[in-house]
Order: sequence, then C-alpha cells, then structure tokens
Amino acid sequence: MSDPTTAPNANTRPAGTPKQAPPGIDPRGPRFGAGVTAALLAVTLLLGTGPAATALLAVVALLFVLGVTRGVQGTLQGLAFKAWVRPRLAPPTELEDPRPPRFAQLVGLLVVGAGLLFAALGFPTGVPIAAAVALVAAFLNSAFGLCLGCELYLLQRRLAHQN
Amino acid sequence: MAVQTSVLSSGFISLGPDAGSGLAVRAALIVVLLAAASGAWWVASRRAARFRPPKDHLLPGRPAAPVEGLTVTDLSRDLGPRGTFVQFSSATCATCPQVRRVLTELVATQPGVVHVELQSEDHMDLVRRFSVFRTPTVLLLHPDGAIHSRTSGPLTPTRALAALAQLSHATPRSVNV
Repeated sequence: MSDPTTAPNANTRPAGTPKQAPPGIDPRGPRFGAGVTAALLAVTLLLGTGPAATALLAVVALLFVLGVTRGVQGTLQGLAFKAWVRPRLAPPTELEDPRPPRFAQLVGLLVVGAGLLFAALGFPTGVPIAAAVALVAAFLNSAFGLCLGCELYLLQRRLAHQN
Repeated sequence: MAVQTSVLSSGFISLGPDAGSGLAVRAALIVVLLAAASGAWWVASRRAARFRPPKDHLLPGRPAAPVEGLTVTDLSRDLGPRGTFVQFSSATCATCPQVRRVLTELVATQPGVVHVELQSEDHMDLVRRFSVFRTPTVLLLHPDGAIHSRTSGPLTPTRALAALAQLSHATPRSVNV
C-alpha cells in the first residue's frame, strides 16, 4: 500500500512510465468465464436461501479465489475456454491486459464472500442478495464487455488518496 | 425429491407451500433484474460516449472547480496548438488501450493536435481536480488549456473527430489559472 502522506506523484514507479505489462490474454476468455459465473449465480438465485444455494455460492466463491490467485485465465472457466472454446473461434483481433479482470475477480470474491458471511452469521437472505449483485456484474461483463469490478478500481484509489 | 422440495419451499420469497410458483417468481425477478441492468448500461454508455461540456459533470453541492483547465506544468509537456486530448488511464483499465489506439491514430493524421495519456495512479491530484471517476476519461482541451469537452468509456474515431471539429469552431476561452 502506498503511504497516504506522500505526494501524489510519489509512487513505486516514476510518473509517466507505463508499467511493463504482462502478456495479453484473449478478451473473450473473461467474458466466457463471466457467462459461466452468471449462470451459476442465476441458479443460486433460483434455489433461494436453502443450504443448496449457500453451497453453490461457495462454489462461485472458490472460482473467484482461483481468479484472484491465478488470474482469470487460471480459473476453471478460463481453462475450459482455452481447451474447448478458443480453438473454435477465430484468433483474437486484440489482446487484453490480464490485470483488470483479475482485480474484478477480487471484487466478485468480496461480494460473494459477504453473502456467505451473512449466511454464516444467521442471515440467510445475504445469499440471494450477494448472488443478485454479483449476477448483475457478471451478466454485464459477459453480455456487453463492461467490467464493473474494474470501474471500482479508480474509486478505491481516490478513497485511499483522500485519507 | 424431498431435498429439492424443502430447498424450494424455504425460498426467500415465501409464497406459501406452492414451491413451483416461488421458482417462477424468482425466475421472473432474475429476468427483470437483468433487463434493468441492460437498460441502465444502455443509457449510461450512450451518455458517456458523447463528448460533452465539462460543467454537467460537477457533482451537485460541490463548489465548482476554480481552475477549469490544464497547464503545461500539469502535463509536463506542450499543449497542441489546435487542441489536446488528455486521456486518464489506470492499471486495471480494460478499455484504455482501445482509446489510446484511436487517439494515437487520430493525432497522426491531424497536425497540431496532441494526445497525452496520464496514469491516474500517478496523478491523483488531477483526478480529483477534474472529477474523474472512471477510466478511460478523455478531456479535450482548447489550445490555451481550457477544457472544451470530456467523455469516458470506449471511443470511436468518428466521435473524437467530431469533438475536434467542434473545438475548431468554438471561440477560445481564457484559463483562470
């Protein structure tokens, strides 16, 4: 974490120099993965508040954990995309930085984790609420390529800068 | 199955013992939720894609920014004699490379126009000063550094060129730095 008392330009890297970007990934991979996540979350919502819904939400949380630790290309959806979907598609016209979708996986994990935490504390309604929030984000990502989690990054930086 | 029925009837929308109708209601709610999200996305992206004057971006209740322009010091480089596109990017920005490509190509064909890309993390002062809430956000500057218009999200060459044409017809304003 950066020290909030330092000047805005004092960062780990000199101002203006772009960070050396890791190798790009096929942007359709995260969108495919978000589609699978959205389907799982929709089923979670259909299940309501029972133990089955909580268990399925926990599965989604585990998928997010994989995404946070290994990047979207390392999730089960990412591996499925690489093995079965990408060979059927034309080569991608452009590659995407893997860091934004990875950050979004963390946001997804926080949302879903909050739902599981509420369920564990005796508020089972937390499961469908968290599933609904995460479903909207995953659906928008899959259908329109809008990464809501990525949008939160700058807001978080602004908050960190303020304090 | 007994397990399934118990799960369905203990749903968060209790509609009595009829588990089937509870499922239907939940399915309908999901459809409404996704339709609302799609609608909100459509409206928001249509609004964001336009270059618009900077004023309507100020938050209500917040005093208007005293400085409505950027200087050579802010950017640590010269402004374009015809206009300057200032692009705010960030590390987790998926759309930023697309916008960079569009503006780089535009600048190559439009003499006197400059494209500056800033990493928001390194310029949080500017991010606050110009109420940048998402990346990519692009400010189009008059030759004197005053903000002519701004946009955010994906950018098409057509929209960028249209904004540039508007800028050329606009009367330059003075910056009160």
